[in-house]
Amino acid sequence: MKWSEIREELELNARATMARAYVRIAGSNRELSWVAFDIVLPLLGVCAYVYLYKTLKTPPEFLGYVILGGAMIGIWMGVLWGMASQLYFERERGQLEMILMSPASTMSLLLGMALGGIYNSGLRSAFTFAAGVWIFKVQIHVSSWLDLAVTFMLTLCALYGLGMVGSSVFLTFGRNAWHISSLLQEPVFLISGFYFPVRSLGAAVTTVASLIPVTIGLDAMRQILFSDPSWGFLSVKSEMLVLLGLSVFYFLCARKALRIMEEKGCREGRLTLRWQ
Amino acid sequence: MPRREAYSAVAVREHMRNFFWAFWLGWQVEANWAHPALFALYSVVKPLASCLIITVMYMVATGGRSSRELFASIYVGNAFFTLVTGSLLGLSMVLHAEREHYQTLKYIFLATSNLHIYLCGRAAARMITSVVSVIVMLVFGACVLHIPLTLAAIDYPLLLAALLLGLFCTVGFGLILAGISMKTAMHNFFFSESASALLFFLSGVIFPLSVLPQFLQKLSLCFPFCYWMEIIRRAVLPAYQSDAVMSAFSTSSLLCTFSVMSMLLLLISIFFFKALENEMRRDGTIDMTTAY
Amino acid sequence: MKTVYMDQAITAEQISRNFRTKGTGKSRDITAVDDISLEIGRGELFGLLGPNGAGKTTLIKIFCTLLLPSLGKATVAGYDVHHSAHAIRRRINLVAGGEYSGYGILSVRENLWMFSQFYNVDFKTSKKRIDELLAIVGLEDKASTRVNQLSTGMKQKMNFARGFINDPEILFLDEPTLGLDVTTSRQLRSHVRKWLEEDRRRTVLLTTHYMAEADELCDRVAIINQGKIIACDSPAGLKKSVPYSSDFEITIRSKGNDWHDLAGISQVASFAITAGDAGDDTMTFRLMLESDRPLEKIFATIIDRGASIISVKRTDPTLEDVFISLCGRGLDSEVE
Repeated sequence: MKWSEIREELELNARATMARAYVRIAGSNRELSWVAFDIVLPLLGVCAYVYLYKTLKTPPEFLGYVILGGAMIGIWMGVLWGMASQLYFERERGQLEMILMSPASTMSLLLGMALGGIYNSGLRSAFTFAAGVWIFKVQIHVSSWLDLAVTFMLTLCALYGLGMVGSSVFLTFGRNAWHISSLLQEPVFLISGFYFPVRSLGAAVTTVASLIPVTIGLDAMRQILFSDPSWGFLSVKSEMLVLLGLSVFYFLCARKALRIMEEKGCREGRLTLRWQ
Repeated sequence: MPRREAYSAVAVREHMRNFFWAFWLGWQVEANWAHPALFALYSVVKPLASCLIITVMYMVATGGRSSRELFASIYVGNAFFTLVTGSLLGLSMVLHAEREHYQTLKYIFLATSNLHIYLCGRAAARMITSVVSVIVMLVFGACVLHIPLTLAAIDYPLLLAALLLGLFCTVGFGLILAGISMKTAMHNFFFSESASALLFFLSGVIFPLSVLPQFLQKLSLCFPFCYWMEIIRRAVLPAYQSDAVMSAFSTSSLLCTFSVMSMLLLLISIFFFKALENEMRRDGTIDMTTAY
Repeated sequence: MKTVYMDQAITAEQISRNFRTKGTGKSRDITAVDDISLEIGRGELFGLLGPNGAGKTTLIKIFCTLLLPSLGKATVAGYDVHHSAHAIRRRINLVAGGEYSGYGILSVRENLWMFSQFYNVDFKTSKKRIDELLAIVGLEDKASTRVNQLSTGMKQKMNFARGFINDPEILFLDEPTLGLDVTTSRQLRSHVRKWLEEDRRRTVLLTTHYMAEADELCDRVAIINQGKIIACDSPAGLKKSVPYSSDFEITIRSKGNDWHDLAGISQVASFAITAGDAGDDTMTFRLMLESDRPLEKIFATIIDRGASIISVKRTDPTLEDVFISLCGRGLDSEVE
């Protein structure tokens, strides 16, 4: 490919990403009920688990673990429902054929959805964390702000890669995939240790669960935020490397999977078939 | 037959028919997406994971050394709360799905004489799968986690009363959510889960209300579900000890308070929903699409 | 004389497309497109005419790279639909009728802008083009209105505008005037014509089951039925294939004459009395003629018998007549 073609391709995908992110952000700002339902109320769910730990008289750092886990739920739900299932819902709304027919790559559109979605899920996570820490007077001792920022970004990258892989599955398997996503909420909350240190599940389960980037990301962020590696699974540096590896792996998988699934959809005539 | 009685009989028959076909439709939507084995797995794995989260939290926090009765009350509360989340999801998401996904809402409005009945019918399928989930969780709890649950020790009349009144209460809350969903944009798919979080927190589902600050305890007592939780626990767990807040209520006073609050909530929800429905008709926004 | 570039915009070589459908009973195989071959040159406005379920949309989806053919090969703008979808997508756009085509919560302008970005149209060009297109479709005053507040016709107008947002080389119009009123349909058809004439390298493939639309717009029309192309020619050429050239309805004032012998005149394909009879003051009869030659003899016969002609109405064969003569049923009939 010539340099001018590469540049044009990059420009096209950058525009598509930006346009799709704009749709998310503008749409959110047109009607603000999500502030109550996506930001304020979910905090109460997290508070319930905090009070459970208070009832069980756990060490104080556990409250911080729950609050951080609760904050990351917003990110995970954003990936699951705001990205992975999005192409499926675009198809159900009759939009998918127009989108797929454009020369913009599906990955750039999904990235746009993710970046736009970060507006909602990022706000939710930030509010949950800040409010939780303030309400329950959780003590935070950040060992390294740089490590924290890098870990968070790597977790996001790996999660979005996983979300893109998920979107290709949704495209092909229709409503089965929708319910499988719904199925993956509580089990992922369990095995990824959203509400407790994942190490307590044992090495074998934690290793398998590490395929879900939020498991390792959450574990690393807990160690950094509370300067306490005692409940950590691996060291922070190792976990950052794992996240980097997962990011690359999932993006490559997503690229391949989206291509395969699109071709499969075209061959079977499912690409534009609504209500499968 | 006198005319008024004839009309009433016809109306009842029509409502029942509406309910039945709405239930049939809800079942088709909820249950025909997968092979039955996969559907069974889905019905079992989701609730079990929810139980295990609580169990692991308990084990991590206490090493299994804390009061088994406390764990039992938390576990049972969490299990039965599945009925609430499932029902709320069923009731509140129907309108969003009909409006945004299938784009049939205006036809439903025209076809049904009573939208409340339609919503309840549609949600009934999900309520039934929630009942299955609760049973799975209780069996798992009794057999694997050794929760002190025995069929002989359950106070069935009390449990039945609690479930029936709980159904009215949940339907009431669900209708309020459904009404709100009619007016709001579809931003995402966990609108009802967020609303459930409010009840999850204020109903003492996984912790006794006595650990909350005073003002939150008083606020909880304004929500009917905390009474429901307490009645369920008293009915199902023979050795259950109420916490400081709920021990002030006798079982009969709990039932009375819960009955009154449930009926009130149901009435308010019907009027609230009707008012919002009329507003939608006035604004012409019944079939607006908002997803992005 | 219209210029048509000889390099082909669209080619199809023996393409077929099968589907397996699943209902509440057994699944069955359906052949939606059956061994179709055609070539559409650049600069053409090519029509695909057929009843519901004939395979028009399936064919368009194949050309738009949304569906792969089960058999055969197709190219669009010289690129293979199977292997070069990306190259094709840069050069095409699709307007389909009867679909929802925007995010309800966003405005018309925002929706159009979003799609322009998917085609890498720069901001300045995008703004200018959106303004022009909104003026063409009559939505300038609705530019800032949310799509969920538009009527069905307005949504379709927006959809139509979206089809031109990237100034495609090849435009696919799949029943684009569905749901639009007569005036708007006419305006949009006129725009399509004008757009095509502005740049002779542009090509349009139009599918419709409104024969007047195909007749008015298309340089060539292929008639498709049950997945097969049964005829392909210019509208005039197709009409010539009908066994009669014109349909005359003649109303006369006469009494006591028998007119059935008019059917025996050479090149009269058929004769029928449609109103009145020999004892009435006025009669109307319908004649289908193979050419205009017998007209003189017919009028002479009427006058010779002392009758006076009240009215003469002429109807030329339509594409629907062409379809009926080829398939034995109307365009509005469903495929079984």
